[in-house]
Amino acid sequence: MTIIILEPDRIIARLLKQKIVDKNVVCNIASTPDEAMLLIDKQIPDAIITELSLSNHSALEFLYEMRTYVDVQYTPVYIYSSVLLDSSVLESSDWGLLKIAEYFYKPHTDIDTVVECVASLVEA
Amino acid sequence: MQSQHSSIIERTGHLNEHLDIVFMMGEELKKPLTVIKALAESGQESQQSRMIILESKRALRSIDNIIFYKRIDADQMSLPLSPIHIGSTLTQVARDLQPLGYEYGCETEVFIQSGITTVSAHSQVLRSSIESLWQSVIAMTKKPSAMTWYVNRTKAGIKITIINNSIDLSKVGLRKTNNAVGLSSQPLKGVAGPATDLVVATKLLAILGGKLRKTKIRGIEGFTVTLPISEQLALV
Repeated sequence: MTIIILEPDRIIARLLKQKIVDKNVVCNIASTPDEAMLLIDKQIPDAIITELSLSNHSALEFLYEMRTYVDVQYTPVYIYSSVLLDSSVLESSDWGLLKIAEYFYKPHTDIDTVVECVASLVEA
Repeated sequence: MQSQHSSIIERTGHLNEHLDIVFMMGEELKKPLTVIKALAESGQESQQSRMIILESKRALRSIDNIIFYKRIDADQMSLPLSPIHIGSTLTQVARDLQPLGYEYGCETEVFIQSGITTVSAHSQVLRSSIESLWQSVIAMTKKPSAMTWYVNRTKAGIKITIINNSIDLSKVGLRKTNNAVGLSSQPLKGVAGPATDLVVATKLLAILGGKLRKTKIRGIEGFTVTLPISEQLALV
């Protein structure tokens, strides 16, 4: 099993990776959407964890683009972000199109909670 | 006329720039605070790590509430109203803030009058105002202390009161908060530091149609606000 972490912050990425590897899941880190696309080309991941605030282009552009590829059309995507989204966004039809498995707001959610949630879905 | 027009554009430009800086600074500060919190959560648990986590969360909540208020103030968001039970909002905030209170040696009790009416409000405005008020009182406490929240129905609306037996508000002046707060490292009389939580709480409660005041119950000092049971929000 493989998970891609798309996270520009090296410390958060490292902490997430450590916890995921402890679950015996292979984990690859990308700091930009381009790097994430290269990783997807190499191996189709079982899940993706991404920050919304990224360099180059936004995570939303990346997610819309990713969803156009058949291989990752239904891959669970978890948002773990410091961007606070209100209910009007989370309940919008545009958000629904992205088929986000779960949105976690970093200030309110610890890494263990994210990893447990991702691992339980991947294991299932 | 031309110069007046230019002056308005210049002022609007300055206002937008000021707001942009508030948003940018807030978002920028959230990043290192989130990392500090994540590092503390991932390490060995200790009294120190618990304090780092709680204080980071406190700062992150303050930043979110400042940004939230600024967005409303700049007309950048709509405020859909819904019937809200203040008691349930207070209980949710209590769940998040009691651990911080414990670290400050502050025992908290919440008394909610049974059968109180819902108010017509914006859920996040109400939640953020209660969070900000709670955090501002915790910051004023001395160890050990007892904090009590009361939510009662009065003729004027739903009255929310917070008191703490260790705080001294005798020198605190809220008049500036209820009007305009200028640039100052200590904008409120009698409150050390920038008191942003108290300022934000006052502003958000004003959006809900309430005016924050000092109060005293059996000699114990605190703050009180009455929110009208209304269909309309009194926007700033």
